[in-house]
Amino acid sequence: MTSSSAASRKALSKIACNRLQKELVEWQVNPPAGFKHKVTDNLQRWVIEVNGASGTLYANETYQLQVDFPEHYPMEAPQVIFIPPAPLHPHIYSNGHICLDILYDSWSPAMTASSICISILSMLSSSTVKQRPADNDRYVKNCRNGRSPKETRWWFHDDKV
Amino acid sequence: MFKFVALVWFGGLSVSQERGVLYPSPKLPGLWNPTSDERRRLGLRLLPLLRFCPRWHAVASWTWDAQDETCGICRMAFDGCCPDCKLPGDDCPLIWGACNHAFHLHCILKWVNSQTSQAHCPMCRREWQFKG
Repeated sequence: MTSSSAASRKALSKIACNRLQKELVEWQVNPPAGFKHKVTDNLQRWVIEVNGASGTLYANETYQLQVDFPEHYPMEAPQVIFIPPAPLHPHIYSNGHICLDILYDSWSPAMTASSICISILSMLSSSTVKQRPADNDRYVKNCRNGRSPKETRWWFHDDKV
Repeated sequence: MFKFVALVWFGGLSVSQERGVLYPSPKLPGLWNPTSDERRRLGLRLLPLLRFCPRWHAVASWTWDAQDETCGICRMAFDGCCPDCKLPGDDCPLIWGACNHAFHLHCILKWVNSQTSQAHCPMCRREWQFKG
């Protein structure tokens, strides 16, 4: 099973706890289209069901996202991965890791779980081909010890998908 | 940076002892101003006159003069304080960036200090600079 880095297992700070409670309320009032938050009593790990948008390659397919919030959220990005089986996409590895800049270098504390979900769905929807990244096998082998995608040094080069 | 709202209202009753009304009011024609002896005899009492007297009361309230109502980092109201503070106002001030985006000072400092390189504005991604 997927694991989270040691840092993200630490209890949430006051500001993180406060913001997540607000985000959860906001999600319940105004959930992003195509997503369902699976109710748990764990504020620090959200499991979210994603439905592929109709008219795209992922229509009628359902996937699960796991969002782990670190102690110092929102100063630090949450760890977001697909719970395998992950969708076949040129930027999504078979272990569920997602190559998306806003989850790493381009994170901003003004972003929310809901805005991340919308970005991921937009990334899925704009895909024109269902295939794994070229370096999938090498990358997944490197992550075998349960390494977090946040420890990967990502190289963002493709702004089309 | 502050927006002040002042509320003023007039009103209030004052009690004057200088003049009075007679009770029960004697059914006598014309103006008659009984002396204290006559009042005692007739069982009339002088009641204090209630007069409407204008006076004013004022309270002032303030709000931060920011574009948004909540801080984009902690999502708490600007008129409140960041989650690490207890009192809004001077103890937990707002600060503006050169890009005109406002945050709680404590929130933007946490973000700027958490960045290894030059921090960007959480809202517009421009280089964060405090408005001089």
